Amino acid sequence: MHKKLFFAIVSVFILIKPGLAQTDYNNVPDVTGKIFINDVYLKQYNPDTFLIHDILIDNGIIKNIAPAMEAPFDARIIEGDSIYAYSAFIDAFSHTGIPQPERRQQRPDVQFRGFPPNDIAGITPEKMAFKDIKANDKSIAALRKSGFAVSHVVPRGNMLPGQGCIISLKGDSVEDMILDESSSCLFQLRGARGVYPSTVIAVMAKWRELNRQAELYSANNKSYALDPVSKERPVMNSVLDALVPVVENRRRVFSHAQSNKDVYRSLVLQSELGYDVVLSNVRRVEPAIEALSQDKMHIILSTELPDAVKEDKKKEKGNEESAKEESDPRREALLERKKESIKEFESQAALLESKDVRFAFSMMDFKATDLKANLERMIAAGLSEQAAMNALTINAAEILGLEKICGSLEKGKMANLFLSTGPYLDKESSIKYSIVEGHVEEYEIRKKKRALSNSDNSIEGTWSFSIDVMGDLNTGKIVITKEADQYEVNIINDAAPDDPRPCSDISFEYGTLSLSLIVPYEDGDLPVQLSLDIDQDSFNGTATIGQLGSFPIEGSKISSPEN
Amino acid sequence: MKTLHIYFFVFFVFGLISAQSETGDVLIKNGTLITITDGVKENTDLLIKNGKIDKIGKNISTGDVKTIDATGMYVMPGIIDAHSHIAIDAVNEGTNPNTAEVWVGDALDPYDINIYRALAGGVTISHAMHGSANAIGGQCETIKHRWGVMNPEEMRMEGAVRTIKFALGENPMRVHGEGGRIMPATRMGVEQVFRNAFSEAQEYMKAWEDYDNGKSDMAPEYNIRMEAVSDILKGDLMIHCHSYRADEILMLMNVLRDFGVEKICFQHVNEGFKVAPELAEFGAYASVFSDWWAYKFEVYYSTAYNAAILTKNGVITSINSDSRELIRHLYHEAAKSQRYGGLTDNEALRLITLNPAIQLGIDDRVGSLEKGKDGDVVIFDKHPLSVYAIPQMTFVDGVVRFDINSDPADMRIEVDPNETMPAFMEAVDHEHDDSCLQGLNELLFDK
Repeated sequence: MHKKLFFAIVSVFILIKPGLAQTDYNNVPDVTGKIFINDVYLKQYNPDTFLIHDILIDNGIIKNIAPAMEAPFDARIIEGDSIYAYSAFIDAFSHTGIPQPERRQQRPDVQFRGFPPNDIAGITPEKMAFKDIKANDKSIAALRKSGFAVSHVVPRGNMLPGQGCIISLKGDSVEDMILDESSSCLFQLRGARGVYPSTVIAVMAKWRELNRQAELYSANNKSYALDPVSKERPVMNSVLDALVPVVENRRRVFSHAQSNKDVYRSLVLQSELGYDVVLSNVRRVEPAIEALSQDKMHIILSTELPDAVKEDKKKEKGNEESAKEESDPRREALLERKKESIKEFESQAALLESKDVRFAFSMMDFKATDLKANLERMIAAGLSEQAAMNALTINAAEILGLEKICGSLEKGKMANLFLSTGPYLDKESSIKYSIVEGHVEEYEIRKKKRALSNSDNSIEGTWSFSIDVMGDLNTGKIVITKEADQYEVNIINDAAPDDPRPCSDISFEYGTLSLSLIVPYEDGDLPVQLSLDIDQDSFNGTATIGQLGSFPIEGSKISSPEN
Repeated sequence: MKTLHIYFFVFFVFGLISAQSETGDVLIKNGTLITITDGVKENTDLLIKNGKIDKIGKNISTGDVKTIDATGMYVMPGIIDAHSHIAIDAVNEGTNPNTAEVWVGDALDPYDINIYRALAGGVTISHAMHGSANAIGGQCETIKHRWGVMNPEEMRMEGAVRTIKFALGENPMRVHGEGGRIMPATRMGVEQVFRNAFSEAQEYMKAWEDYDNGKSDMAPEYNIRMEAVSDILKGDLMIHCHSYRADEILMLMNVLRDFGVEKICFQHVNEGFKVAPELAEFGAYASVFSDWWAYKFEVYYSTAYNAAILTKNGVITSINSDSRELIRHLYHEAAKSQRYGGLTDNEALRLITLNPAIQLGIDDRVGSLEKGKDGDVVIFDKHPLSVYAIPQMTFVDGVVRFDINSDPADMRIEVDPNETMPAFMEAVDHEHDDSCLQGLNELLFDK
């Protein structure tokens, strides 16, 4: 009898589904496009202070930023009380969204290694990076969680892997994400494996040749278009086609120049061939700084830093062998030089700032979660906080030509921002919300002090729950008891008060209660998984019901255990 | 369109992002000057101003110029190495038998510690060359050892003659014939690679000439490799050819005669002594080892008298290192020509100064102590041909780049923050180097 009732509820969910089939569930619109962030701190420089303002977002655009505005009736309200709003970051150069290729075979199979096909030679400037991007790649969500909203994505490969694109870090498909499908031509001083061009010298020679050829190709095509009579037809060449905008200065070259030598080589090629270049993923600017500053170059600095030298812990143990090693003067001298070298890497950003060179940061092959730690090291080496933040926002926007639509919190720009629990550069702060084009994502903040420990028995007792399954509201009780360190949980649906369902796979770690239960249904069972984030007297979480999908569930504590 | 065509040439001539290199002033007093072109002058002063030799004479006095007392010491022009592979990041583009378009000037490495070590051996200029994997390896660069600069552009010897590396014999045969199953698999094939390249370049030049003269409407395809080979035919690029066997040396001279190429310097040229009169007649130069051979089959027939025989036959000859180890004692190498062949002091020292300068087309600038020449000078404590001689100070353009009294253990410009052992402690042993085949392990052995 009770079983039947439960089954009836579930069957209602199922029955409703075909009725709604005309709706595209892959594309459910947000309930409201309006977001009102109430009373957030906004960082101001000169003078160094925080303002308290409200931010109104409408359909992905910042509608207004002002103090004490009135929230529209239909807006989702985020209480900004004691949180800090920042313009979201822009990653100026990376492979975001493009998965690592699988290991290639040992040696490419070519007939003549001096004349390999273009794709094996690494010469594919016609290739578009966005075609390699996977919208669900983990790197996109990871960047978003670290405060980024926009990436300049360049393709993977060797000498001329293709054209970079600008993407918004939010979207169900790559098309949704694209802000500019072809924003750059990537050039790398990197040879192909075992085929021409395999060395830096051949790459540079080939690049000169391609530049000349593209100029002539364009001239021949124009001449033929003007008057084809008695002229040999120019043959289509997709590589040269893709380079014509480069030699005509309509598409910028992003030259991947990590080392100091690569910086100089890029500068030589640029001055010789005369295209616009942005030096990218640069790790050392120092020896060339005067030239960079004089020519007002745009630099995309690598966020990567060498690991700090670890002080030898053996020293404390005082064992003899390590003491011997310590006393080796050559070792000591090397250690000193290494420390100097690391310091130099840390001070590159500060140097650019002091020389007034505009720079942004690249996130290429870099773990986004390390960003703040590395910024701290750069700031300790003399970079100002404002310059660090500008490099991640407005400078990147200007270098990429996006300053009209993003890079700062301004009326009319894209609603790309993040909300932090404290000033961003504070060690203790973390990002609570990321908002990309008005899409809000909320992150769980690990409360170090408040988090319930595993031994805390305060979750025992009776809790209420409510869950909306495709328009059908279900409420009930969750009864949690604990015996001999083992939790027992029973769930009672208000629609079937006499049929408590026992739960299994129960775990409670770091404030999250996970469990599963079986709901009988027709000639089979429906498995349900619950994951509940418990915060003292209330919880939020999700319930995954069979094939139906995941639904938010919430509730609060009704009573503590009777005994 | 014409401007495009000559662009490649233009950038070599006018230089790239111009790099002004540092020059210095110095007065070296009371030394024994070995001038090479004007005998040996005892107790003589040498003044360098703004990087150039300003005065040579007795009792020169100037105001506040840095003065070095060279009493009892020997002052000679900076040593020049006509064949080396130091200070470059890429030596061989071993993917094709003809890579005339590549240029080691694109791969200069100012951080290479071997530059400093060469300075410690009194070497101020080296000819940074491609290897011998390809019959036509690519264009070389004459560099000044301005240790301490970090801009590769500052290492170039501005105004030096452009050179290109050719290679005969086993190396190109092994890399391409055996390794790539293409021509050249034999010595005949090597000759044919040159003949093909020159013939194609002639056709290439003709096509451009027709276009420039308005005989055709559409521009021919630009080919940077053919541009470089054309420059050889026009006399703008001088050949330096890796060679061992006499028959091949004669073969290449015949090829050059057929195509009207007049200048060549043979490198290694271990059998040069067999064809010395023929080399002299052609006007070819020779750059040899003092006494190094038998490291592969085609180099078994050789002699330490090679340099002396060539010199006595009127061939302008130099002794080179081709090694980061030998480059540190080229003055010893030159001295061997006295033991084997009885050259005079001046003839022996010319092998490592003025003669390599002639071979690199820079003899108007360096190679001897003369007023107006570059201030590239080395001071020895003993006569440089003595086995006891040790270089004390080396100047490039009047700037001290090596001083034995200021020579700390770690002279590297930069260290890798991740290195665990000082990289400069690795062993250097020329017997185990085959510099000419650098970077080819993958092509040859990773199959």
